[in-house]
Amino acid sequence: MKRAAALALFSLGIALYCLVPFLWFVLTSFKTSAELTAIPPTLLPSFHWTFYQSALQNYGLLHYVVNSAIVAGSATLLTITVGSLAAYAIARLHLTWTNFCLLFLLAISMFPQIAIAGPVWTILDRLQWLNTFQGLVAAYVALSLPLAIWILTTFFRDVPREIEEAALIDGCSRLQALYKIVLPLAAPGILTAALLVFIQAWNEFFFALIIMTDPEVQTLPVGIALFPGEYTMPWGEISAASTIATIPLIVLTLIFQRGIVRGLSAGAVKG
Amino acid sequence: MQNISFDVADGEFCILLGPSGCGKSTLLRLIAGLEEPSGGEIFIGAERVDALAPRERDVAFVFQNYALYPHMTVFENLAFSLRVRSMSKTEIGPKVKDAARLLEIEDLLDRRPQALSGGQRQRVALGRAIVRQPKIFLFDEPLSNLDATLRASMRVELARLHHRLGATIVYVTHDQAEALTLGDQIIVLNRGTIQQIGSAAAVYRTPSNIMVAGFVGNPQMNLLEGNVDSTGSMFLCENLRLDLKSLVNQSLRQLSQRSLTIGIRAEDFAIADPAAAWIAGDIDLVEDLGSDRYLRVKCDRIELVVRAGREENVQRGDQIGLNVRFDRMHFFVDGKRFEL
Repeated sequence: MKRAAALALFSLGIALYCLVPFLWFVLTSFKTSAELTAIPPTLLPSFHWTFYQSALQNYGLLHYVVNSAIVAGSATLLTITVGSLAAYAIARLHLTWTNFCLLFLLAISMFPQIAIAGPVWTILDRLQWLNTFQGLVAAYVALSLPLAIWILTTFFRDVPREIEEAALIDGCSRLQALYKIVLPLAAPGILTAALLVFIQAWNEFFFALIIMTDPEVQTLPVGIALFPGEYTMPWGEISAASTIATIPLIVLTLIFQRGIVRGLSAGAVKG
Repeated sequence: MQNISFDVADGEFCILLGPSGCGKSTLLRLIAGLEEPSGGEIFIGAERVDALAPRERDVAFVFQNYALYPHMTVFENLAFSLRVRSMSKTEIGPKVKDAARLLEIEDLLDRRPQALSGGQRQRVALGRAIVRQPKIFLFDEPLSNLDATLRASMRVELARLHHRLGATIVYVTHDQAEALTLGDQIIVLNRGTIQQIGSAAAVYRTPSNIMVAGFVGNPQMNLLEGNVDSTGSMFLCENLRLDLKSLVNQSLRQLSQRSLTIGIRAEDFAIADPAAAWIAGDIDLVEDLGSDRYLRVKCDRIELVVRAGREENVQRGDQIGLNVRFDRMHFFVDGKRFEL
């Protein structure tokens, strides 16, 4: 009894510790300017939407949201499509070098971003893709492919070979078997990978900062970071913008989490 | 796999029998098109198929672990192959219902594979094959995952289905009891080569080599390794001298000094007085199966399995004498069957 209570308290403590920064800026976003700068700090705000209005109207928040959506969405779509093909091949082909492929991908993904920043920038510059959506998406696809392929390979491997063979015997071509049988069964895995890739792309700051210098195409993380002017530090608007930036991720995770859990708990793949 | 060559007649129940790793599953998958042969030809009917994809061969495959589609209901599982061939819903419905009725799974049509027991899943796997009315049915150890009682009843059902459908079946198993009860033709395989092809009776009564002799039949055939002496009338095995005079036969003398293995099945012994019997020993263990009793008898360094009737008064530790039916003895020279 005591141990359960202690464990509960401990978990609560850790949860609060993780959530405090988030809670703080959400609460801050609803404050008035006066409450923002008050000493001692106001904990519970009176609920005003002023910062949200200001962020949307004066700082062009919606614009950044749209850009982020386009970039993260496209990057996820491309990464999952290409990654699925690679993962399916690696999972199904029993060649000596398939394991080597995975290890190679792992090794590549460990490159520190700052080490590859320069070369990536130069490549995009030569392609004249700086300050374009396709440029940033290309960089994101390259960054997230290793992770995606790793996750997807595991899930494709989990689909029993016999089920695919049964489909082939029942009259499917390889592609039909992939489409009708493998993909539906690997769907939880694909959703998981997609979610992780999307979150990574949505939150990514470093490459977005160096590749997108034109405010027209900047994404949310960069946009918010550039809110501060020479003399102003718009904490309120930053808080409002950060809250809005986090909401899509939370919503997506909640939606797909249900789908993923449902997929896994349906007893899936034990023929 | 080497030198594999055999025919399966139309409507025949052909069994591929052998221990694990002998290549029987591989052979089945070659017929199905799931593996590619490195050489040779495969014909289904008059058509050469070894270059065709599985979907073009019109065969049905029942996997050992059923391989049902977990994201579909039983009805959809059965209908899948018909849907892929663009059959209309009005045609699919009756076909699926007929197959379901035949296998008594009609009330399971709305369930998913996860909600079925092993036996039910097996019937769905069967149903999936039947619905297609293929040229050949291929079974890959379909009963191995079932418990003993279910296995026995499914065996009977499979035999009935075979007669009812008149289907040509190629069936892989390592269970020789299944092979003997179900098969019209049995092909015994070991390490990638065919050991014997024949009917159940042929494979049981006249095994062509030691491998077949030892593999077919439960309990295993007693195999005694030794030599014939120079007179051709005594069989020397370990420290025993066994009298073969009852078999007075010229050909035995020619085997003298050559190694010979004698095979005797457990049921071909008769219990006799130890003093006057052909071979004598001590009973090491009595296995009472209810319907039969099997005695493990130790004769010097040889261990024999002997079937005893229910009336015999035998106990562990007893001394026992055994006479043998010479007409049922098997002789193997250099591993191969030797006919007297």
